[in-house]
Order: sequence, then C-alpha cells, then structure tokens
Amino acid sequence: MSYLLANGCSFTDYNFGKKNGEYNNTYEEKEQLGIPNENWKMWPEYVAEKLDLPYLNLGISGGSNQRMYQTSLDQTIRKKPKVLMHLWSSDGRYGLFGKNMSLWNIQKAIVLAIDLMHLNNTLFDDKFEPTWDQASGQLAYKLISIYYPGYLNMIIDFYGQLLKNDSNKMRRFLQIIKPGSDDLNNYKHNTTEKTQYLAHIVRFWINYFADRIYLSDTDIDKENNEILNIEFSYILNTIYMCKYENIPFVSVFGLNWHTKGHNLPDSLTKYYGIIDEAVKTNNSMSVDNNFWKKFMLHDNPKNLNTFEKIALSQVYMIRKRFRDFIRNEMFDKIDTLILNNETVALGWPPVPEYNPNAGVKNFIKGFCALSFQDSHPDPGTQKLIGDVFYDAYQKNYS
Amino acid sequence: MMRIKKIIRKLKYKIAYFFNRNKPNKDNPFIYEED
Repeated sequence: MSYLLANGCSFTDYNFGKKNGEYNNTYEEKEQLGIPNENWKMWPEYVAEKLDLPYLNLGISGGSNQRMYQTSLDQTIRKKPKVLMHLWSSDGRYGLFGKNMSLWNIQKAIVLAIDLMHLNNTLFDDKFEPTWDQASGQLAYKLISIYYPGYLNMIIDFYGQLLKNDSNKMRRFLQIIKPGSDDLNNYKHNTTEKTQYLAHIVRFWINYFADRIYLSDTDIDKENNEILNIEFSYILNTIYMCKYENIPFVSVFGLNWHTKGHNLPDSLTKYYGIIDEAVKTNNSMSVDNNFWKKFMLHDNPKNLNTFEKIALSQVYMIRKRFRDFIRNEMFDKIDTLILNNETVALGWPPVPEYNPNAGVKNFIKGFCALSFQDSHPDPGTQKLIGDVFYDAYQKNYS
Repeated sequence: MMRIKKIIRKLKYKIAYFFNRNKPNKDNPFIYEED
C-alpha cells in the first residue's frame, strides 16, 4: 500500500486555518462570520479517506506552481506515491532561494501607490476592500517613500483628515504607514535589516518593470513567450514525471491566471481603450506596428510618473501575453495531452478569456468563500474540492 | 481525426477569446485572488 501525495497553495495548506490570522478578516470579524481560527479538514484528507490511503499534503500558503513541481518531484524520488494530485495556483509566483515571491503583489502595490499619490478618496470604501490587503498597502507606502518621498506628508495629512471619524478605516490606514514592513509576503517581522532588504527588492523590481516601458512589440512578444514557457514548464514537467514514473496524476487548476494584472488605478482607467486598441492592432503573426511604443514615447502625456507608466505598460504586456496564450508551444503540448486523455486536468485552460469557467470558484458547484474579503474555500467547500479530485481519479484510473 | 479535433479546439478558444477578452476588468474591476 502506497500513499496519496497532494500539493497546492493556500487552498490546500493543512495549516491555513491557523496561519490565516487577521490577514483578510480581523479576529472579531471572523468570530461574527463563523470563520474558525483553528485548522480544518482540507481536500487531500477527504480524498485519502475515500481512497482508503494514507496521505501527504505538501500544500503551502503563497506557494508557487514551481514549488509544487519541485517538492512533488523530490518527494516522489524519496518514496513513490500511488497517486499524485495538484491543485495548481495562479501564475506570477516564483520561488527564489526558498522564498516565495509574487509579481502580482508588486504590481498591485504599484497600482495602490498611484491611488495613494492621487489621494483617491474611495480607496478605503468598502467596495475597495477586497482589492488590496495590509501587505500590499505597506509595500505601496514603501514604494512612495523610496521614489517619491515628497508625497508622504500630503498622503498622511489627507487620509488622516478623511478617516478621522471612522476608527476601522483609520486602523487600516495606520497599518499601511507603520514603519518596517519586512518582506513581500509577510509583514509580521519588523527588523531594520529586513526593511533594508525589502528596499533592495523594491528597487530591483521597479528597475525591472521600468525597463519594459519602451520595449518594442517584438521584444514584448519574446519576453511574454519566455514567461509563459516558465509557467507551463512546471505543469508539463509534472506530467512527464508522472508518465516516466507511471503515477496516476490528477490536475485541477484552482486559480485563474493573470486576473490581477488587469487592474489600473482610477486615475488611469481612461487608458483601457488605448490598451485595447494597441492589443487589437498588433498581431505578432504580422509585422509589428509598435503602436504602443509610439504611444508611450510620443503621445504619452508628459505628466505621467514612472509608477503610472509601469502600470500602463504592464497591463498592455499582460493583455498581449494572454491574447497570444494559445500560440505558445508548451500550451499546445499540454492542451494536446489533455485532449488525448493522456493526462487528467480540470479547469483547463486556467484563463477566463479562453475558459469562462476557469478557477474552482467558478466550476465547482456550491463553492463557498470564507467571506467577502477572503475568497479562500470555506471548510464545507474543501469537501467539494475533494469530491472533484476523487471523481476525476475514479473516472480515469480505476 | 486528431488534427480536426485540434483545429476545432483552437477555434473554440478563439471564439471564447473574442467574447471574453474584456471581461476581467469591465465586469469585475475588483477581482482579487488569494494566496
């Protein structure tokens, strides 16, 4: 008798309940909403019970698809499982020397920094609450303090006045301006050394993004293709590993890819039209017209700051990346393997443009999130996810 | 046969893209995914 090996992100993490803390909801709100502070049963346990197998759950909150592939490979070499199940996460997450980094968090922080600098008075409205969290708020503030420190006093004065009569909103604002947010995903440890480390990372990423503002369409296509190759390689490698080792493998694509990359701050939403136009008129199959580069170089209003230029060029780049998604060779390979029933995958492709039901929250009937602010599956939904994995396994491998 | 199946699948993706390409920001500008 072998065992079930399960891997994933926070949707799978055995310790999610305990670790979640006050990340999305305060303890008070959690008590009101009936969200437990303890761990609850996650989907691998439900599947293991039904299969009558012992199980190992390698899911970690914030974990990338890269980490999933690498840890499953490592574990398979140690002890071969009877079945492997992956609840894949979103794209844009990378492991670097054991640390998880999310490109979306940085992009989200840039968007938020622009909103803060524009003194957007709807930023703390309830409808905005799910768009950003404490960690990205702190990162946004850090970005401003490094690149545009002259804005800090104005921001503090403005929001201090605006929120003075609402203690909850004031608390959220104070959380983002408190000094010493330490790293990109974790704001809990505050040390000077770590704060300096964050500043280096922030500078690295801003330089990286700023380099892409004036890229030609050919270079954007090339880089987009490389990014997609990186993302797809973890999925394809896991499929190859399971073929070679003869392990039944069930993939479920849990989260939509790239959805966060579409957001622009309020002050820039007027540019959505021109981004659409640029994506539509540029076709990598034909000669590049560099509509976008010309726009950024010549038509671009001079008063846009670097953050704003980054936000615009990133949305353009991402729109193009997912327009050309199905032209990628690795995508085609995975797609063909799924079409030929050589591997089992649900929720493919994980992109709403090509699959309106992408993401477990859309294709699992009865999916229930923890709260309005926290879209993780609730304890009851974990059982539903387990059923999806179990049914797919039974249908294809028994 | 497989060739035809693949062509139909690609066509299906292209049609889906045509109808859904602007959805992420226009239908729900406040999309937020979890860790």
